[in-house]
Amino acid sequence: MNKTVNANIGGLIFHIDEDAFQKMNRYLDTLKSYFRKSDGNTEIMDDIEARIAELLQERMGAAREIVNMEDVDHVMTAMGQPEDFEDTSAEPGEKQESSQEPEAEIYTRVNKRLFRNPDDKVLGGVCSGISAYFNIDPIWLRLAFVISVIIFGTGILIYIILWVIIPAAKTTSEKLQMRGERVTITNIQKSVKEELDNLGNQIKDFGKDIKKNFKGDPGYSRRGNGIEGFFRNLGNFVVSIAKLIFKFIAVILVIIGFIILISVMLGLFGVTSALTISWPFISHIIFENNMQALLAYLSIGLLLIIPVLWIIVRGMMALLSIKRSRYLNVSFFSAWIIALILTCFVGLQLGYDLKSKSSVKSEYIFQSFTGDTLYLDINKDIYLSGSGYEIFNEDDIYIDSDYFNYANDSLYLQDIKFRTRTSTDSFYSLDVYYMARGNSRKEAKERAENITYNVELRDSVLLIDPYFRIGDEPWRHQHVEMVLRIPEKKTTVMTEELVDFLNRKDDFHISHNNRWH
Amino acid sequence: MNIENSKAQLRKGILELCILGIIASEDEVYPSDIIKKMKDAQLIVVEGTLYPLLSRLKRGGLLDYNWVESKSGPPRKYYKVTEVGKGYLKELSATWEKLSDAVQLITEKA
Repeated sequence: MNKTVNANIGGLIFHIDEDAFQKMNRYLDTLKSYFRKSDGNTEIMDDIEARIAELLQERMGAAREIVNMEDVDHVMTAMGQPEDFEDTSAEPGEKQESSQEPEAEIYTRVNKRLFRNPDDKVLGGVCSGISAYFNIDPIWLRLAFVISVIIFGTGILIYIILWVIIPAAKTTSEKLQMRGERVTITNIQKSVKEELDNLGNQIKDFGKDIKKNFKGDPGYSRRGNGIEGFFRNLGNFVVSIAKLIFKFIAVILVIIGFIILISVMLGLFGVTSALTISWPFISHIIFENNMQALLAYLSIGLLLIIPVLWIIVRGMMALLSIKRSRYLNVSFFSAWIIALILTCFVGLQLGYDLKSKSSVKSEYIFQSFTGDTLYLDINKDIYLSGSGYEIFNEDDIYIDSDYFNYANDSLYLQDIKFRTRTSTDSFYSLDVYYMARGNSRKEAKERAENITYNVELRDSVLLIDPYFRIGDEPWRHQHVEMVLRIPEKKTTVMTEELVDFLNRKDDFHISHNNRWH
Repeated sequence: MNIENSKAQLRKGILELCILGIIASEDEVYPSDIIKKMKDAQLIVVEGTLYPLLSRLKRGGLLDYNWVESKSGPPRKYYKVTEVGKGYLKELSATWEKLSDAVQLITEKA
């Protein structure tokens, strides 16, 4: 037995089962809202209702008195659902039926407010919220933030301020306002539906987990479930804290990486103020030619920079939640290996350049010297201008070591050895050996020939240059060895300074006083 | 791409023409007759499609209706085509002819 309702459809009265009536009512409401925006909507509705009434009448015929669910269904099939209405309206203002919901939101900038977006956040959703306000992709703002953090961390302060000031969009209408969608019923419905779906999925998963647990252990007590849930929540909490810490570490790594990067670049290509040496000069000494120098700098630079870059990139990827790429680590590593190989190659080349040695000999026979005593001293004249050595005074010397001095953009080498032998005849003679290395005997010999070193006999004093120059060659262990042959029964005296010089005493320096011993 | 969508688009384009044509072929036509005739011609629409369309055509001056008393039930609207509507129909038919030929030509070559 059913309850019936008396309904007026299109001017005719019908007895309808209650549930059928509900259905019909809903159907008519659907149609009404579909036509609401159309012109002449009342007319259309009236026509439709009249037609429905007619259809029902036909179905009732003479025998039946009550309209039931079946009749309503039939009517609904005959009349159709709004989605099936192929509306050929070509005029604007009439409601268009499309079988897809329009994906793109039409933004009316009514009611757009600045919120933090708690659904899409790395730290506090500040960048996300601001990006939503301007309709841009949050990644740009995040990138700017990271950069500003590196530049003396100005970004951090701003971010914290913004985080505190800007409220988070919690309610649905707030979230819509954040995105600038009109706060209409449909939008809210959509938003809520999305959230409910999300929630529903989460609950489902949670339920599955519980079921699994229950199934696994028949003796599971309810109390246990509660504790387990507690620990699970605790675990989640700890995990999110850990994630936060990781992100923080990533920021630090990125900053450190940049600092290292900049220092390395400065070190390689900048001027080291302490020594005021120009790098071109140094590389000229070390490398045979510019190509080699370039290769060396490149490979060493890459060797240092690549790991640093890798740290920076990984840090930023973690920070900005960029997906990891399988090829990232591999490519960085292989690039580094290549740099390593290149460095070794240059190193080997340089080493190769030292393998052969050769010497050139100059012989001085002092036949005109007839005295009994030969004095040996350092040739101080080279400190005078115009001597070709261009050293004016000690203060011009920038580097002072046992082996070389660097002054006035030139290299002055002191790698000079001296020994004495007995002469085979009655004359003093001096053998000067200019020695150098190269990748072949021939090259070594050429290098040796480019050594500039002089000795001079003045009256009874043999003046020895304290420095030699190596010409335009790179440094390949050029040095000078001298052998002084002393005839029997003659004496030789060396100044203290010369002795100090030859022994490379630390406190050796040139003075213009002659002291003899 | 939604094939149903594309099909619907095609049908939409010719509905006006068909309906005007059906109404014009009779003196007066009742909506459910229109439906029946369309079904006979294998052009299926639901009745609900018809009413807004008829309403629009009437407001556009292409159709007119009479109320006819019915013995069993409320008065019905019977539609007929106006003079303006007849001219409209003629033009639409001409366009349809051209389109039909064009499509045939193209799809033959394709």
